[in-house]
Amino acid sequence: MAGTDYVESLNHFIVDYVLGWYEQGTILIVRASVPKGDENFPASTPRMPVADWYEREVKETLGLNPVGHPNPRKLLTSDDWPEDLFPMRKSFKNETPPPIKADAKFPFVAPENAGSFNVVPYGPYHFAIHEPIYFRFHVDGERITGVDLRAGFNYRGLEKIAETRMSYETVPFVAERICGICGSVHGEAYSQALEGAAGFEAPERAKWIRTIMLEIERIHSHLLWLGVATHMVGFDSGLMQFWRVRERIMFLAELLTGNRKQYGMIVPGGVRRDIREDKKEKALREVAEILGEYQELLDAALGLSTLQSRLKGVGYLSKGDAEKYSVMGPVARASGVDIDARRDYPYEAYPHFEFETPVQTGGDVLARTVVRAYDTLESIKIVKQALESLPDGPVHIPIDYIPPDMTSVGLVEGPRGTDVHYLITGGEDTVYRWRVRAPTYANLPATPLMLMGQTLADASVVIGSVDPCISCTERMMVVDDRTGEERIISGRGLVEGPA
Amino acid sequence: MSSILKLLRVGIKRGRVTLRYPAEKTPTPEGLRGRPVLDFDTCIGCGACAKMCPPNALTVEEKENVWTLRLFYGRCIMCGLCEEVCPVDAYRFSEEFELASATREDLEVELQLLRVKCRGCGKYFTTKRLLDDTVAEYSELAGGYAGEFKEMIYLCPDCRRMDWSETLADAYREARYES
Repeated sequence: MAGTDYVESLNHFIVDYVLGWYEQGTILIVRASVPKGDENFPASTPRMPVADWYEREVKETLGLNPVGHPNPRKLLTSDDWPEDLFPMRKSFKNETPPPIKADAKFPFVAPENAGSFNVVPYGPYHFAIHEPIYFRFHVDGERITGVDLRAGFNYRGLEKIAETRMSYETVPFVAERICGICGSVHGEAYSQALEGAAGFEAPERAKWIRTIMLEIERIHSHLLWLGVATHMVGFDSGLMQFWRVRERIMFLAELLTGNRKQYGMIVPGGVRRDIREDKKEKALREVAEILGEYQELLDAALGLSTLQSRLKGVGYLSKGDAEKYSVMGPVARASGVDIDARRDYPYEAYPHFEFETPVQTGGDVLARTVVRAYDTLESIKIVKQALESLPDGPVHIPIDYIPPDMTSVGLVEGPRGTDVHYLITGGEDTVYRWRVRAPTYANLPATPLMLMGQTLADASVVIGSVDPCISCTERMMVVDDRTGEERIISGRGLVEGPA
Repeated sequence: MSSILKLLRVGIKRGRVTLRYPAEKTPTPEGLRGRPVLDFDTCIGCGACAKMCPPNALTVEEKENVWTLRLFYGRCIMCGLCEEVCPVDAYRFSEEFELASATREDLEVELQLLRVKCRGCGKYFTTKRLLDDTVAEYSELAGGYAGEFKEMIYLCPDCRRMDWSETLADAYREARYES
C-alpha cells in the first residue's frame, strides 16, 4: 500500500492498495482518491490486520488519516518529529531541518494488571539483534506475556531523495543501499518496476546474469543467517563453519562483479558487467566445490540433537496467523504457507530452471532453519544451471522512452520474502513516487505473536528467526531520539550530552 | 556416526581458513572495484562524472579562471559510474580497498584546471583542456571550415548563439537583396 501526493496537479492525494494472490499469480491495485482539505479515508486494518503498518505510515508521512484505525501511533518518524509535518508530501523540501519537539514521548501500551508484571526493555541497541529496534516485553517471571514494538530508528528518507534529486539511472544505486544484505533484490525490483512502466524487456543474457546475482545473494544471506542463528543459541562451531562456506560465496560475487557486496550490477535495461567465458568456468568450479562443502556441513550440523531440541517448539506461528498477517518468504514457508514469488510471479530466467520450494509445517524456529537450509541448496543448484545455460547476446540495452504517470509494481523473491517496489513515473527523468515494501515490513508485525508465552531467554532467537532487516524496513533519517524505559533523550540531548 | 563427530571431522578436514591479516594480504580477484584513481593528466574537465555520481562524492566548483574537481572517498560507493561516463577514460579502479583513515584530508583529492575566457564577452566558460581536446578531435571533420570552427569554439554558448543568429540573419538579408 502506498499513498501519493497529487495536490499540485490534481488537488487530491491517492492511496493505492496493492493486493497479490500467489495461487493465481495476479496483482490487483485498488486506488482511492483522498481530496485535499478533507484528508480522511476509512481504515481497512480492522478487517485486514496486514494493513496496520501501511496505514500508519500513510498517516505520518502524508497526513492522510485512516478513520477507525485501532492503533494510530507513530511508526517511522522519531518521537520529536512534529506531528503536522509530512515528509512525503511534495510541498516538504528535503533540505529543511524540522523543528524539534523536545518533550515528545512515545505512547507505549501499558501492561494489563501493572502491579504484578515487569517491563523489560529490549533494544534499540541490543547485542543480539544487530540493528536498532525497540521491543518492550511485559514479563511474568520468565514468561513473556505482552509485547510492544517501536520501530523507526533507521528512517533515512531514501524515497524522498530518489524523488527529489536522483534520476532513473542513479536510483538503483540508492535502492541497493537500502539493505546491506539483499541489495540486488532492491535493485532488481526497482528495475523490474521501471522496465514494466516502459514496456521494456531486458535482453536474455542480462536476465540470466540477474538471476545468478539474485541467487548468489540468497545463498550468502541464508548462510549469514544460519551462522548468526547458531551463534545465538550458543553453537559457535556452527557460526564458524557456515561462515567459512559463506566466504567462498562472497569471493564468487567479488569475482563476477568486482565487489563483495552492493554489486552495482542490476540497472534498468540490463546488467552492467558481463560474465566472461574464463570467469564462467572458474565460477562453475567454485559452485561445485561450494555445493560439496555445504552438503557435508548441513549433514553434520542440522542433525545435531542439541540444536534440534533447542529450536523445536520455540517461536511458534500458526498457519492461520501467518496467512492473516501475510508474512513472507521463509517465515511463511516454515508455517506451511506455500508461497514463492520466483515460481508464482515468474520473472527473469526462473521459468527456465528446475528448483523446488522447501515448505515445512512446524511453524517454529527449527522449521525456519530447515527451510532456509534447503532453500540455500536449491539456490546453489539454480546458480549452477544458470551458469551452464548462459545464452549469448548483449547484456544491456538502453531504454529509449519512459512514459510519465505510469504506475508499476516490481516483485522479487528476496532471501527474507517478497520485496515489492511500487513506482509512479514522472516527467524529466525522475520518479514521481517510489515506495519500497521490504519483506521484513511484512514479517515484523507478526513477531509479537511468536514471542507471546516464550521465555525471555528465547526472545533473541525468535526475533532472529524472522531474519529481520531493519534498515530495509525503514528505508529512510538519522536516529534522533532514544527511547529509554522512562526517559527520552532528544537528538539535541544526544549531541550535547546528558543534562 | 553421531552428528557431533561428523562436525568434528568437517572441522579437522577443512582446517584453518583465516589469514594472518593484515600481515598477509587478502587475495583480490581481477576486476575488483576498489578505490577509483583519477588520472590528472588525462582528465579534460568536462564534469560528466560529477553530474552522474549518485552519492555526490565528486563535485565541481567553477571560480574565475579555475575549475576544481573534488573527489571525496568518504562518500564514494565504488559504483563505477564515473568510469563508465568518462569520455577520455581518466578513471581506473584500483585493487586498493583499505581506505580507513583518521583524518578527512587523507580521503580528499582535488584537481584544478585552467578555464578560458570567451573571445566575445570575456567571461570564463570552460576548461582549456576541454577546448583543446575538442579542437584536436573534431577539426578534421570541419574540413575546409577548420578555421571558422576554431574561431567559434572559443566562444561561450551564449555568444555562440548570438554569433550564429547574426550570421543567419546576414545570410537571410543578403538573399533578400539579391532576389
